[in-house]
Amino acid sequence: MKFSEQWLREWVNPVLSREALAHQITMAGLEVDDVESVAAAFSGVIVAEVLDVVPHPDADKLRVCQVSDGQATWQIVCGAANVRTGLKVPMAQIGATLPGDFKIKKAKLRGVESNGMLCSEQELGLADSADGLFELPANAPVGQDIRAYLGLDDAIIDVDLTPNRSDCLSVMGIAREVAALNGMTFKPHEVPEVHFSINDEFPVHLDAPEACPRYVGRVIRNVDLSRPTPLWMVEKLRRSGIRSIDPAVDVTNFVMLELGQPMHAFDLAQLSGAIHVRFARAGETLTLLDGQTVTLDETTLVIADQQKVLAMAGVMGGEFSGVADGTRDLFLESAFFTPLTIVGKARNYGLHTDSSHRFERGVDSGHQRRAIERATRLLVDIVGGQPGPVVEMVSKPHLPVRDEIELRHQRVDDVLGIHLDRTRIEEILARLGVTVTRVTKEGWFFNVPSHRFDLSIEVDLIEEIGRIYGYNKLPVTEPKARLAIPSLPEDRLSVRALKQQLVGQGFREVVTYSFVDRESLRLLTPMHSTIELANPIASDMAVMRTTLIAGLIKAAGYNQNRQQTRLRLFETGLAFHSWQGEIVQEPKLAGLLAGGRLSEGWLSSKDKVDFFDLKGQVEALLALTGKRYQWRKGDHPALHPGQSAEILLDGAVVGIAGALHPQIVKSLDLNGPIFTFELCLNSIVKAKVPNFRGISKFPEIRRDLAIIIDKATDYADVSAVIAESAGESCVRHNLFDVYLGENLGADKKSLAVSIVWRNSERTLRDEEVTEAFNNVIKALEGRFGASLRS
Amino acid sequence: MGRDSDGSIRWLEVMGCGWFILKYSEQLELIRKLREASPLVWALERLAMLRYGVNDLRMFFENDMRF
Repeated sequence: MKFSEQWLREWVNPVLSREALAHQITMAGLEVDDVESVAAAFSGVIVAEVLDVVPHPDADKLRVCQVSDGQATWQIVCGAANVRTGLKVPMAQIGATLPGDFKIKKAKLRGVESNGMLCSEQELGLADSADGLFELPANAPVGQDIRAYLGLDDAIIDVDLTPNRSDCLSVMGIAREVAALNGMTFKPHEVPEVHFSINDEFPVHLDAPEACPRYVGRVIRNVDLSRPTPLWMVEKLRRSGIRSIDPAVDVTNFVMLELGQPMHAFDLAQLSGAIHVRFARAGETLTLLDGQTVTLDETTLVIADQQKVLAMAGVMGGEFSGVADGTRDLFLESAFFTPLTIVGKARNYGLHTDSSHRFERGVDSGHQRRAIERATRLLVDIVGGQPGPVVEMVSKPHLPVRDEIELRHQRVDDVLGIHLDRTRIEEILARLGVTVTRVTKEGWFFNVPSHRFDLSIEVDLIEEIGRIYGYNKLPVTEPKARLAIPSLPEDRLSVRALKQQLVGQGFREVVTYSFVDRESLRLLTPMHSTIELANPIASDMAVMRTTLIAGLIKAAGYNQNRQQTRLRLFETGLAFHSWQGEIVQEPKLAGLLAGGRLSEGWLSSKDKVDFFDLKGQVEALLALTGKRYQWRKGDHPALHPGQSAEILLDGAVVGIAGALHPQIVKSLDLNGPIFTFELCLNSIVKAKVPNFRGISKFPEIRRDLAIIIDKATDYADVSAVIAESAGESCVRHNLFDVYLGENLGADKKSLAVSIVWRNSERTLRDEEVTEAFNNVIKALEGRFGASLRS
Repeated sequence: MGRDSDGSIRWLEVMGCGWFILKYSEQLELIRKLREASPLVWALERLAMLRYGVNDLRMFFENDMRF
């Protein structure tokens, strides 16, 4: 809503500077987007009259003019095509300064002296472009400063209103608000009834009273639309961003801006029989004022006569029933259409008008008669004519009813955090037109005015009290709460610690959507049934993720497409799938590695990451828990069959890790290899509480073992056999070499394991160790058919 | 709140808050318990944008490694 500051001050004029006023309006919740001067800075420009025009002796396009400033006559050379004798124009005198600090001096143009300059709207900074001189009305007072004449020491205030404050979509509405904020009494301008001088009426039928409970109309005959709209009205409209068209349209727009009531003027000669306010019949068409023809549907309210549709109610008039050049007789409309009827209608037809903007947010339902009287007065003053009587059709049961709102005094105190006296509360609300109907033991019942569509419950009133009292004046109170010390059991890790660990390992956290595309889930987790969204925002965000890997590979693809190839990503969040009709949601931690093992450098190899980088990273993360995790060969469908592992804790699978299946890499258009893991967050936060054991004073004894074994045998199984056969004194064993070679045979491998023994009470004897060592060899021979490598 | 180049005060919304409407919230036991509270929507990204001069909110969710 844009309006002129001066216009507002005609309604209510608080003793506040322009800036203070704008600030006050913003602070009251009506955000001022912009305060813009009506005209650029200039001085020394007055209203002048052209007395005589003769051609320039030496230039085709220039004219030599004699111009009067009311006291003297000046010779001015002018190049504008529309300069003519008798024209009133703005004249920049010698010594004037035009926008852009352009000084006017005495000059000679092709040998002819020029004592000033005649100006266009563009040259005065009033318009972005102009065809010629700014033609002033014939009654403009010669000699008056143009700034004073046009009221240019004004500003355009642009308020960005929230949708609930439709009552402020008019100068009167803003004025009411400003008056309330300053504790001033607000009195709407008197609108005296215009007495009818003819008896002509045009009948109106409310065929859809639930959508249009009030329709006020009036005939005005013998208007002269060739008369110009007065400059003051043109300027007010312009400052609200509305172009002047003809006096009838200008007046309806002016009343809309002034009082907030959208109006429409029909050419009475085009109407037949009676006005019917009804819903359109399917297939009816209407050619709108903007020239486009629309096919209406049955939910669209229209204004029709007995034969045809005339206008789309509350949105836009029709081309053929509108006011045109030859119009002599008018039918004025001032109606109340319910917001629900209008909301969304304009948009359905690709329209947005000042009228639909107001009706869909809510227009004061008690205001139609006042608006039509105001419009009649203005029209008769400008274009003459004889008004007929006002015809008002009302369907009382369909007018909006406002329930009383109860307000408890204690609630005001509780919500705002301050105590206000009864009288202060009553006074604040009274300023807004909210009146007491009943006083109760606890507070009041209030009636809200019909223009405040946004007030319906107790807190709405409390909000108003806070707003008018001043949010800025509410005391700053630190929130008080009883805080319990959270328990942080030692046997649980925080997710934050896990995240920090990964960041320390060079990973970066990503945040991806829980909604992913169906196709990638079909590839990644064909075993899970997915949960579809009822109303997805996009087709590639149609299902809930069953695995966080879906989001990670999308992020990886995004980065690979932008030349970021060395990736270490992780994410925590919920994964969802459906199991036996139930929704299962599980917190997960997933990660992804791709690209170089090390970032490029003179000392680092260019090798890419492999499975063991992945395993090392996951083990380093899990080391934080202090628990023993087992790795075994896995068969997850998303992973490469030869590089796929399951991670177990106490015998239960708690995660997977491996290379992304090459076919998935290919079909998702990624650059492989890509390594990924996903862990159940609830399992890996379990931590081991340390248990002290004394350090042995006695030496340890190490024996190395090299065995040849079937290639398919997992070291994890070998390791388990060693652990159980090496005796109680064995403290650790370690795989330190793996060898594959022709000489062993194609299906064999050689493992070299060191085994270390130690006793905490005495030094071990050599024979004891040898015996234990032989037991290990025997067990390995027996279990795996292993043979010692010679 | 900040100041423009010409010194005038400019506002930027960084948090929204509102009030549950009772007639809806009473249908929900969970929200009913909360109805004395005014929900705050606190988007950390907005504050981070101001603090660090990030000019596009979407960058927080693009997961671009260069960010």
